[in-house]
Amino acid sequence: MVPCDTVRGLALPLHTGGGGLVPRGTRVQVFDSIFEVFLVLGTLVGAVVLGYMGLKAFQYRRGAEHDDGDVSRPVLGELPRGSEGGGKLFVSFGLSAVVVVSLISWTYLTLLYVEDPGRSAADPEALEVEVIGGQFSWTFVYPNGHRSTVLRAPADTDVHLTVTSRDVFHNFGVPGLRVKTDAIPGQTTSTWFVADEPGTYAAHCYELCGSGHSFMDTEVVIMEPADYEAWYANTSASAGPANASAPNATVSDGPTRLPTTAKGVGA
Amino acid sequence: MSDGASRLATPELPDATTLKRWFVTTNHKDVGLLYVGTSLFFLVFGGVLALLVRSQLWVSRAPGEGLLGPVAYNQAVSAHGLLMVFWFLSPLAIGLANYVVPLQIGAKDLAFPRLNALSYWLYLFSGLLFGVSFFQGTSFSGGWTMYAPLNVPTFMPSLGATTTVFALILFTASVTVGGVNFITTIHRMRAKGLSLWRMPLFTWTILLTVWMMLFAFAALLAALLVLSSDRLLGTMYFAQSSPGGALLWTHLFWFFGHPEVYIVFFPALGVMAEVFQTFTGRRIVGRKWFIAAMVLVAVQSFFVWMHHMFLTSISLNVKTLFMATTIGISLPFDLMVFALIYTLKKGDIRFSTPFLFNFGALVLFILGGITGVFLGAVVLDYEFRGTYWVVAHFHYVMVGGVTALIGGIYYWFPKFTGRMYDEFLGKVHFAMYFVGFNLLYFPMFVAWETPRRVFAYQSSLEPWHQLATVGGFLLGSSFLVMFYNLYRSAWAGEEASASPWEYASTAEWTVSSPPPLENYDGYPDYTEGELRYLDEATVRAESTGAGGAAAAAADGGTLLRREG
Repeated sequence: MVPCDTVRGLALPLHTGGGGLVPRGTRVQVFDSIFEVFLVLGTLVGAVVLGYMGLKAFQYRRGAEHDDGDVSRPVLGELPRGSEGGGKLFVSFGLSAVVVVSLISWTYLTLLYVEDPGRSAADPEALEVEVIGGQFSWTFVYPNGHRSTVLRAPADTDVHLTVTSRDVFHNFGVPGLRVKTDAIPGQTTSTWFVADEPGTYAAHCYELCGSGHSFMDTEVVIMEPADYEAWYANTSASAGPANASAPNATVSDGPTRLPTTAKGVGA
Repeated sequence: MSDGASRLATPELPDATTLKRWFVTTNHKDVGLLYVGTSLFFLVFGGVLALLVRSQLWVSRAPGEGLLGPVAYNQAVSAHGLLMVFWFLSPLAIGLANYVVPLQIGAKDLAFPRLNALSYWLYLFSGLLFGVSFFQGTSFSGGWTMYAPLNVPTFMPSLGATTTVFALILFTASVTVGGVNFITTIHRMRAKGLSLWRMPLFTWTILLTVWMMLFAFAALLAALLVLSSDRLLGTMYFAQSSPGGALLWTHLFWFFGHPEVYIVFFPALGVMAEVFQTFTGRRIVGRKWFIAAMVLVAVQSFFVWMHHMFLTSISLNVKTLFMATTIGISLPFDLMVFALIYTLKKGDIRFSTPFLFNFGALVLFILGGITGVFLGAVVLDYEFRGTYWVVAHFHYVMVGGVTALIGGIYYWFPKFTGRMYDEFLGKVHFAMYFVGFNLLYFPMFVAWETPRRVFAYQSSLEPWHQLATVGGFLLGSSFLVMFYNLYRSAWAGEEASASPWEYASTAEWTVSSPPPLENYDGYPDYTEGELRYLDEATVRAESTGAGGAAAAAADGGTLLRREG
């Protein structure tokens, strides 16, 4: 089971010492806490820099009162050279470097967590699902061989996805669960998510893959663990769409054919 | 022009008002104007496609609804990206460079004038060939990144897609020929006394741009040749059955694609530096560091490409390395931005149209830069991948660069034509442009959850997409004001002097507007610390050692002094 004991939101990670500084938890929590910090700092830095820039431009506009008696102005035909003021330049540069480098280093610690949340793939509780992208639908293969075009998974459980494609480059993403990875023919990528609560989430394709790209959507249904167990017990390898490990008929579709599996608009 | 003597003689060229002149010219100023004009044509071409895209996005659509069908939409998106990046942005910069760089460094023309003309005509025909692809079934419809294996005939069988690839190859030929020409010119043909460190910043950015082009476009050419082989000869390098094919494309493409970002942006940075210095009446702060930062970026740009591939199957170690290089490459830009900002201090700032556009460009670039740091955090990048956050970010950066280049057009317009543009209409253009720009691209940050290149999106985001569409049309129509202004002013504008801008300092402003065919009356020389023009006798005397530089100034040189 997943330790959801950790931080939520922005304030907590900054105020709990030690390991609490690095956002952990579900991917939604991790993303939200980092995004919020970036948004706040980004807005602040932007406001300061743009404000200063606007102020100086206004102060030193022609006709304004300012003392420029000792300022030397560029002269036509001079050898190009610079002005004084390098010291200030390096202070500002140093400051911005510290902000950027520390922000990114901080998120790097979270990246290490996201890449390896400390729950090995051998975790008996974890659910392993294979995701296969194809023009223009997704196929999910469960450990028992069951195939489906909708992903069902239990809440509060580690779900590991192994993602590939049977035709072109796709990208499988579930924005509501903050999980996303490329689906590349001939390669596999892996990722994971944990859903806090039962519900239905939309999944989309995030890499242009042909005429049906806009509609290469599906659903991720998160169920109560008990409901899921009941559903899973009734599945078998024979169900679901045709064998997806070999290129199927849609592969040769020209770009002029409309997708037959379009799920409608948005989600 | 077989030898030096015939080069010095005034070449026979038909009058500039005749059509023939523009077909036979090899003069760098003519070719520069051809480049600028043609690039603006492709701006309109790519812009109309963008407006079609924005119209389709007015509301979330079901397949087949709206102006564009699914394949037409994909073509519009792809062609918009390709046309803007390849056939508009770089050529506009190269057009300005063609005109300005030889004047700035004291050369009478580029090193190889005929090669220069060839590079232009290759550019024009590659663009027209792209246009032809729309009439051959469908044009390329796999996005400007052209990911494999969608780009092979199995998935994109149309002849038009092959034509697009061929157009890109022809464009690469143009870029390579042009790049070699600029490299030779800037390294070998500078006026005496104008060392590399002393070069005007616009020329510096062009030098770095063409060096990057030389190496980056080689990777693109490799990718395109292999793709052509797949499309024409039936090889399977990028086919779905090739296990590394898709990744091979992403590596080759982004090894080109990331430097391309700077290739497109550097000239804009150069224009900003020139315009800031002229209109603030201040020399740039930290000039040496500004140049060093640019050189660093130019080199490092070849070591960040995998940050476009964080969600592919590359390992954590590689991700870490490329995260570090990516953050590393963002820091020199901080320095450049601060240098430009501090140049404002103690200025005598005049908010004329060129400065408005360049000041605006810096604002947009700062916003694009900050939102880029979000993408540098890999954990955030994972979620932004393939969404409108990326679209908004790179439009702020790229079109921010365009903003500076448009300012460059206004800045050098009096030099190009000998006439002044209409200042009021220039300001109207800027107001419409800046409001339209932010109305177009800022809502994309808010609606960032929209997946890229789709026209079916969450309907709760519709208001933001409608704002963006309104902004797009405002931005587009602002160019009508510019075209009208420039067209009318070129014929009926107020006459402009050789140096209409107070505090302008670079050499292009020392010659008449427009400059004579051979640029200079005499030999430009900086050995005395400022530009002067030597006559032939003095140059000969100096080169034989008969007279020192001081003597030359006394008896033959014309020292240049002009009061602001």
